[in-house]
Amino acid sequence: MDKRTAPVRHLDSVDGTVYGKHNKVKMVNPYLCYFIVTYGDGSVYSGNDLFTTGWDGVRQGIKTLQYKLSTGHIINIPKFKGYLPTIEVSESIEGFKMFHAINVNCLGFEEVVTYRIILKEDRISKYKIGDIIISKSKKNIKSSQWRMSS
Amino acid sequence: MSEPILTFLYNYSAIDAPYTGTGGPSGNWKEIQLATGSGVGSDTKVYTGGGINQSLPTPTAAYGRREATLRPVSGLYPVPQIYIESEMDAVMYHIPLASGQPNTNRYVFGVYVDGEVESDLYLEMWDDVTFSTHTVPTLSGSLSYPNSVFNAISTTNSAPPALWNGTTTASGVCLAGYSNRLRLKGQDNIINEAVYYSMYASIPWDLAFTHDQPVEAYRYLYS
Repeated sequence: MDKRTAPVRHLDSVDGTVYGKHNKVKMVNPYLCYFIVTYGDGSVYSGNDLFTTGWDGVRQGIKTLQYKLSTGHIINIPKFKGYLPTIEVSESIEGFKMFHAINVNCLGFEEVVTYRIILKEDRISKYKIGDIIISKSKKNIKSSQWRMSS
Repeated sequence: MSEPILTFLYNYSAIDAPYTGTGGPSGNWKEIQLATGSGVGSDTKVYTGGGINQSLPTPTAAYGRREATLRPVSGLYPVPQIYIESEMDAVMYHIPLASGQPNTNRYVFGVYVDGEVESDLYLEMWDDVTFSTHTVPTLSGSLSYPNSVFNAISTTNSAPPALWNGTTTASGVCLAGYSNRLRLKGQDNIINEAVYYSMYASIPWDLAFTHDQPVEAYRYLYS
C-alpha cells in the first residue's frame, strides 16, 4: 500500500472538508500546493506538492520564493539571507493526515523570521487558509536543507 | 525532500527489547495496519478489562472480544489490558508489557521514522481527525480528575521511573490536544530511527459513563 497517498481523503480538485464531532475543517489539497523559486539567471524551479516537496532540488542563489496553494492563494516570501520551509502535519494511527501549515523559516541577520502559511480553516480557529502568521526567534535551526539567497 | 514514512509499532511479546527493523513488522514488533482500499478497516487500540483472571487469553484473543472496563468506587483504576484489534488478521493482539502498576517497561509502543523529521515527533490525542477539539470525557476527565485518562511517557532515552503508574503527571503526560502532548525523542531531528513510549488509561471514579473513540496522532515537521 502506498502510504503517501491513501491517507488523504475527502478531497476534491480544490480542497477537502473533514467533519468532526464539534467542528468542520477545510484543508487545502496537498497535491496542488507547491513552491516556485526563481534564480538570478532568470531560471525558474517549481516544487511538486506537499508530499514530495522537491525542496532538496533547490540550489543556492535564490532570488525569489513564492508559494501557490490549491485555493488560488499566492504567497510571496520577502527577501532574506536564506530559507528553510517545513511542512507541519498531523498523522493519526488510522493513517489520516491533516496539513496544518507551511512554516517558512527565513534567515535574517540576527534572528530567524518564520512565515507560517495556514493550510486549513475551521469554526474555532481565527485563521483562514492563506493567512500568514509572522514570528521571530533567536533559535538556531540546524538543517542541511537551508538554501541561501543570491 | 519527501514526507517521512511513519510506521506505528507495538511489542506483542513479553521481551522488553527495542525494534530492530527499518519499517514494517520485525521480530517481536508488529505494525498497526492502516485501512485497505478493499474495505478492511485499520487496526484499533483497545483498552479493556481483565475479567476475573485479570487477563484475556494471550497472545491473542478472539477478534472482537472485550471485557467491561471497571469504574472504581473511589480513586483511579488503571485499565489492566491493552490490545491491538486487527480487522485484517481477525484477532486481538495482547501487549503484555503495557499496563500493570507500576510499569517500568521501556519498549512497548514505537514509531519508526523512515526518512527525516526536522522537528521532534509529538504524540497527541484529539476527539477526531479534525485535530481541533478534546472534549470527550476520556480526554477532559471528571470533576475529581480534570485530566485526560491517557497518561503517556517517552521511553526513547530511558525506561519509565519506578513511580510511574499512569496516575501522575510528574513523569508522564495526560494527553489532550496541543497543550498536553508528549515529545517522543526529546530533541529535534529524527532520521531513520525508532522512538518509543508507554501509556496507561486510568479511569477516575466519577468519570461519565462513555464509549469514546479518541484519535491518537503524531505531529511533526519535514522539509
